[in-house]
Amino acid sequence: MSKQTPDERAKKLSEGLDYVKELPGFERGHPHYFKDPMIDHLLEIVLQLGAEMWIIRDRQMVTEYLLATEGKVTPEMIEAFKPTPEFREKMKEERRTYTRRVYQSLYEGIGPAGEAAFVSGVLKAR
Amino acid sequence: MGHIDTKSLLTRGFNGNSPELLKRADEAYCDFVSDARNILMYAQFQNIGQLGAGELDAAAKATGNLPNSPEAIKGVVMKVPEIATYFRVKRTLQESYWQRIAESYGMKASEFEQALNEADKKGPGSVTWDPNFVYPAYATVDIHIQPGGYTGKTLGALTYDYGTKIFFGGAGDADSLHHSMADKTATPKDGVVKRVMEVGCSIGQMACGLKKRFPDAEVWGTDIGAPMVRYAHWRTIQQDLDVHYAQMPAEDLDFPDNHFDVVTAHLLFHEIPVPVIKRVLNEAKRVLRPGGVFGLWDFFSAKNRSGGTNFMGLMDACDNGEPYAPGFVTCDVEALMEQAGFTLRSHDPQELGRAGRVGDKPV
Repeated sequence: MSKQTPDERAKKLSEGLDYVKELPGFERGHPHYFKDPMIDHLLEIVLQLGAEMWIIRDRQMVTEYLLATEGKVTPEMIEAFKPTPEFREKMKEERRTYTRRVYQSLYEGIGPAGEAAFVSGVLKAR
Repeated sequence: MGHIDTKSLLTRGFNGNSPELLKRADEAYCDFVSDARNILMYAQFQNIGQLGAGELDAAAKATGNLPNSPEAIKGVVMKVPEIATYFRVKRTLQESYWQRIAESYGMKASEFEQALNEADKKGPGSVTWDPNFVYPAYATVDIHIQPGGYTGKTLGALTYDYGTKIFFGGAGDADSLHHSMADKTATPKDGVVKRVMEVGCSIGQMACGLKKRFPDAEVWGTDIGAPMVRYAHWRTIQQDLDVHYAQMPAEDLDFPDNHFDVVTAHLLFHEIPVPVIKRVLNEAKRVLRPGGVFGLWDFFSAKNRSGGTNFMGLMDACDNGEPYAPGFVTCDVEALMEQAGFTLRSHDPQELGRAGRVGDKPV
């Protein structure tokens, strides 16, 4: 390891870098985007409710699957459940349909949506 | 507390090489967030970017000045409800998944910490880190607004692992993105590869890919963050791969001159300030042997991106914990590589996914 003390090394690593503390994004902050922050809060609540609703739908789908295939269901079976590739795909499709249906009005009228997936964005010039 | 067995720690097993969250409900929550990001963010990226860039252009025409400070930019574009909605959704989804993941693993925080302690002394491979390391301020940012960033929390790398799975929207599961980069990483022209290092290796996904590609080589992963290298080692043990990890700033490596055949950096440079980029390039050149090769995988330069993408990048810097990314995309990193003494291999600036930016250390 380095022969410098930890403080000496940190000082050396920080040379010429005082400016970074002033850069936008250095502090995480708590931004809001609407003039009325209550709209921000309402959108946050709407997204959280969407997630909580999906958790219930997910549990219901797993419960029905286990009942149909195993004839019984316990909390432990739900926690240990590993979907088959086919069932995983079915759940994914259900989730995407649900998400699109619930939130479709958010961007109405601004143009057709692009690819709904990460496409290695940092490596693709756009 | 007795020995921590991985099976009893991870009651829900692995998803690829990443530990599953500890409750079904947490996984369902993150599945929703992942798809919501895909549908409400990635699918709207182009639209919002163009809309924002158009608003900024219109403001510039009206006033004679292009807004360039974050406050001025936000003042112009956030009047458009769809833009404000996009960034609200983005920030909320980002904050949500970090919190939920940390809460899920946090149910067994002491057990995970013990597992890391035990892994510190185990092989295959090794890990070295300094409990007294003092981080320079630049490395303490909440990158991607993950609380604690890459350096501030003992279990931060575990949270990062599942968080980046969500970030990639499922496209990087089983480390497929990182392994494809490892497979495409350039090699020295003489073909000799005995020692390989990834600097800024985070959780070791690419280092593992490099070990798979070069099984007979000595493979190292270094990172400034102790949480990262410790977890990378634990994760690599689960894959039974022999990789060495060490806590080292990429600009101050404890290796001799002319030691490595290949040094690579994957998505490191946009997370460090430009002066540090210059130091890292000099250090990479020092530890590479003559004829060795440096491979850089990172963002496109701003000059090769659309105005909309640059607008989105600026917003990402401000509100998604990316303070150094604007500096990277405007620094002309190819010129900096040449200034450091590398000979650049030709590449198409629009096709960085093929091999990244590659520099040879002259023989």
